[in-house]
Amino acid sequence: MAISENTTTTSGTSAQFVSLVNQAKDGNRAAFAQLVDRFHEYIFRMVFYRIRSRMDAEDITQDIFLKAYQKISSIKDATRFRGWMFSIALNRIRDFQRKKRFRSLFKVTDENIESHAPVEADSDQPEALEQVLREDFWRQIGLILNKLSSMEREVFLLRFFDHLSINEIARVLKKNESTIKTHLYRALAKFKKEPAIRQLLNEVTQ
Amino acid sequence: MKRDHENHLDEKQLIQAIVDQADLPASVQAHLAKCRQCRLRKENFERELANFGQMAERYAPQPQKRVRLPAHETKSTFWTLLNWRSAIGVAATVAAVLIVFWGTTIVRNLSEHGTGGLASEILEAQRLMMEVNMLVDNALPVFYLEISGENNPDYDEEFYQFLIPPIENETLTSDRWKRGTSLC
Ligand SMILES: [Zn+2]
Repeated sequence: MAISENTTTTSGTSAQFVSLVNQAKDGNRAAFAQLVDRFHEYIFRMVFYRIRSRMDAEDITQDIFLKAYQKISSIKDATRFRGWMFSIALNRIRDFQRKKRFRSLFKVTDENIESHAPVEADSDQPEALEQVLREDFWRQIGLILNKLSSMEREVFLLRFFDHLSINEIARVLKKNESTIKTHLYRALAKFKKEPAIRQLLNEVTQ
Repeated sequence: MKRDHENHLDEKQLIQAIVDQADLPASVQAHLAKCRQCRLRKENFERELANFGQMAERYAPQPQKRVRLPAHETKSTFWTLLNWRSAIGVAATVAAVLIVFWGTTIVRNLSEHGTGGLASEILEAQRLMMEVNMLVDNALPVFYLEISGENNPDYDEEFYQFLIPPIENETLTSDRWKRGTSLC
């Protein structure tokens, strides 16, 4: 899905979209189900970018929508539905990561990258090659993002992976815009200096 | 006056332009507006970032489970009020009341038991001290006391006076000793 299309679908500024959120707010289950259809993949990806495990991302996404369904009546401004969903999502992700850190105290293996069945790289199947590329991409992304502070990482992801505006990020993270810009500036400065990123981009865009 | 190409955006200004172009000084914004070279640098960096986001989207898996919503809202007000949070609250309150009640009872029992115990311990200690005092007065058992004549009622005060002279006499003796000393 192209970024522009994605942004239009989920930014939530059209009158039709606002009406849908308001209907859901008034207890219309079908309206909420439509919002789920519209946001499901987007929220799932947002979670996956931070967790990098499909199964965990699916469970967390389910929790996020359930929470949103229970709390939809408390939303004040229907045009800010996307930011509101992101606030819920970030809280659920933080909970998950906290529990995971606790569990990792008792485990030796790194659970950050989901283990898949080994794939033969020289297989003729295009899916197998895609799978190898996919795993390698997320491994590299993990290494690159680990070089940023947690705040720089979150702001960077929200801006360039989730396509939120500076104003939306400020609302989601409950910080002022200049703080968000400072973190984004630092993240970009590190990003620009990182040769691994250029190498990765060259590899994947070839 | 500097030539225009000498005012190209540096790395910091380029990043600033990506974060928010409006935050750049007016002169830098003006340069960016008319310098093709700087605009291209900015656009290239923006494209890199956009590619990065697009790659993430492309390589993210598709969710395989559908989101399940709870069945239609049929909860009565009672069940709404008595959701799990309320249930936990009620349970906590009941537990607190029971703890306070039991705590008070236990403390009271302990206190009563404690007072009785203390009194008996004092009596026991007094009895023990009496025995100790008796032993200090006379360490021999009664049988041996009789053999030794310690318990003989015939030994009157005069006899004891003889065995252990009173202090006055000792004083005299002492005085004598002092005098004797001085005489020598
Ligand atoms: Zn220039």
